[in-house]
Amino acid sequence: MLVALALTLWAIYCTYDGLGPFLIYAQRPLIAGSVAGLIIGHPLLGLLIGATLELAALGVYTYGGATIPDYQTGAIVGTALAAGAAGAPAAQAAIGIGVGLPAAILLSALDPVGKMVTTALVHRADGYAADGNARGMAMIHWVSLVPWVAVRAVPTFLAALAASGGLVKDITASIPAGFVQGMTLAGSLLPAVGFALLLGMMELSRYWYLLLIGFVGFAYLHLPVLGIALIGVAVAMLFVTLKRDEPVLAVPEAPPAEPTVDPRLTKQDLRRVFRRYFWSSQISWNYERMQALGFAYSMEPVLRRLYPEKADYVAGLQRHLQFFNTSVLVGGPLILGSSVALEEAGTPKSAASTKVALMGPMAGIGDTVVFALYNSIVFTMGASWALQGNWLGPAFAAVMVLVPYALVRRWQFGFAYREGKRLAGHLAAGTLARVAQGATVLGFVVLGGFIPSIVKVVTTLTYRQTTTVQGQPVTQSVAIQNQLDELLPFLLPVLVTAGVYLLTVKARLRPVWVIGIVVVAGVVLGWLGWFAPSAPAKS
Amino acid sequence: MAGAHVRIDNRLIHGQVTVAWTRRLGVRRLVVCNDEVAADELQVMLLPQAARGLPTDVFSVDATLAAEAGDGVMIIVKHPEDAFRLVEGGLRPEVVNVGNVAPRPGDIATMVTRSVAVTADEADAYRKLAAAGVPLVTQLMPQDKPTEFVPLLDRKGL
Repeated sequence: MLVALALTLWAIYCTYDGLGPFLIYAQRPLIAGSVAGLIIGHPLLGLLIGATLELAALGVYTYGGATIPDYQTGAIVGTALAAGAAGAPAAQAAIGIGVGLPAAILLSALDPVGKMVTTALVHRADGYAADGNARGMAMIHWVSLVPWVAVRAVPTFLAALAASGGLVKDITASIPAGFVQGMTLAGSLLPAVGFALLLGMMELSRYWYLLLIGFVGFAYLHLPVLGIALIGVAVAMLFVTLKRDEPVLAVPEAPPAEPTVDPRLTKQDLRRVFRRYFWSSQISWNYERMQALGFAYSMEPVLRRLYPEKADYVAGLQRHLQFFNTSVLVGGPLILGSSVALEEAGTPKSAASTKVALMGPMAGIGDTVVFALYNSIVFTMGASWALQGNWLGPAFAAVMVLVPYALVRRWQFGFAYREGKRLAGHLAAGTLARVAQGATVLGFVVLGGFIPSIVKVVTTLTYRQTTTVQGQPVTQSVAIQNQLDELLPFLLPVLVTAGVYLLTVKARLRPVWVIGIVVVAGVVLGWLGWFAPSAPAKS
Repeated sequence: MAGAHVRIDNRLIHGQVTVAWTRRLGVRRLVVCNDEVAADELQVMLLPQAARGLPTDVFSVDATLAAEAGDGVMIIVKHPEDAFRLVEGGLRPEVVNVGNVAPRPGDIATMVTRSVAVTADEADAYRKLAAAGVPLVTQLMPQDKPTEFVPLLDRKGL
């Protein structure tokens, strides 16, 4: 019971983290599962299950509010049930993955329910805004967190309670060893799904050859992933700097000196605006206005300072309660800073129009850089260490999101506020496009190394070969894998990833179906004993 | 620009479009079509950068109609009216997809799907569009099923 409550609290934090502060990206399965393992007292299980789900879900994030599988709950619940299962840790982990994946997919049905409740709530916030009641608006904003949390915390609690009974042990004790063996293989094939999904989002036809750099680095030179990432950074810098020679958009001349804005906002006001956005940007996300309430709540201290007349203040609140959605880590703070600057400059109209102009493009660039590129690299590295039972894995991922994202958000806000109207000129100079391109190049190099190092599969099949040695026929058993290795190291992982890529991108199967196919194929082939994650120890 | 995929989306070029739609449709060129946007220097500069390397034009409705036809074009309009005007002007798209239409302040709108608001006037115009023989669907992401739009209006009594 205590453990179930602790897991539920953790699920609540994970949900909140992914809506507001993004301190450690706790809703990602690597972090959610690893900490769940700690809570239960089986840290290794949490690492293995979290990392496997993480790799199956690379690049799978919420774009513009579309619903995705609930991998957070899948990882926590899978870990909790695995701990109660019978068998060795590897067998328990296989069961945890077998439970966690379908749980994540089924529970995604609850996600829209939470978002619909918050949609009803935002209308209450409109009422409060019309009265100039900031307290009421703030209350609705924070209360909106409840439906979001409930649809994740309640299933977590129920599953954790069920896991604490002896029932799980009884059921799992009868699971045949062959199935566990198959599930283990399926787990080591699942990262191919994540890599294929990522490749489907990137410009493969334009940059495919960059994959070779990472592949050669790992398969022939045996470089660790960090080494490959460093090469990737160098290649990305080359691309971005060499590209400068191309005629990019001309940097606009400095705009004519503007009438200096007399600063009416205090440092304290600015800090409050940023703090509100940092801690709660999208906790009240809903289908109708998306992040609007969070933005209005963040702007409120500035509006209160600038508009002593109640009518102006109310108009300000309503202005910022209009539909808004963008990438909250890269983009959102920039837009917030520019809105503050333009409101202070006494140009509320251009505050609103700049916001509208920026939110779409910033979401396009921010989502790509954050989800498909930076996070995918950091979490793949973390997950690959976690699979070896190394605690540095999740810790590395957590630190690599905590520090850079906090600094980047702070910087964007300050920069956009200081630049005010000149911000647009800076952005127009092609900076954004260059950042996105550099990150894409790095992503490809690293992915080339990740595929052979993380998708693990070898064949255990052999064939008999009869040769004649000194006139005597001698029959030998030859491992097919050895022959494959001579052809190309890591041929099977490459083929599996390519196959999954074709299924997702060319055959256009839904990711859920692809995951199903990979799991079934893994279980069958592993059970038959034809393939395994790694070569069996020589007997 | 016959045969183009027309998407109605208030947020124009964003994650759903760059990550999912352009890849899925094999889009080779984007046209953002809205008079106000085309007149806003800032958006004209920023939108092509958000398109991740796809050639992107930001046109008014008239300029879009005047532009030469090409294969693999996706036209993203900001409001339903833009789509209506394009079709009135003689454009025959392959499909009009109602993606994201947020309610506008002051309008009395009904949420027809989670992401699409429709006013009474717009409902009439949507019906006219469908009656003119333009396939009219709503489909947020490529993996979602495309849903015929007019029956949804019927169901909401619009």
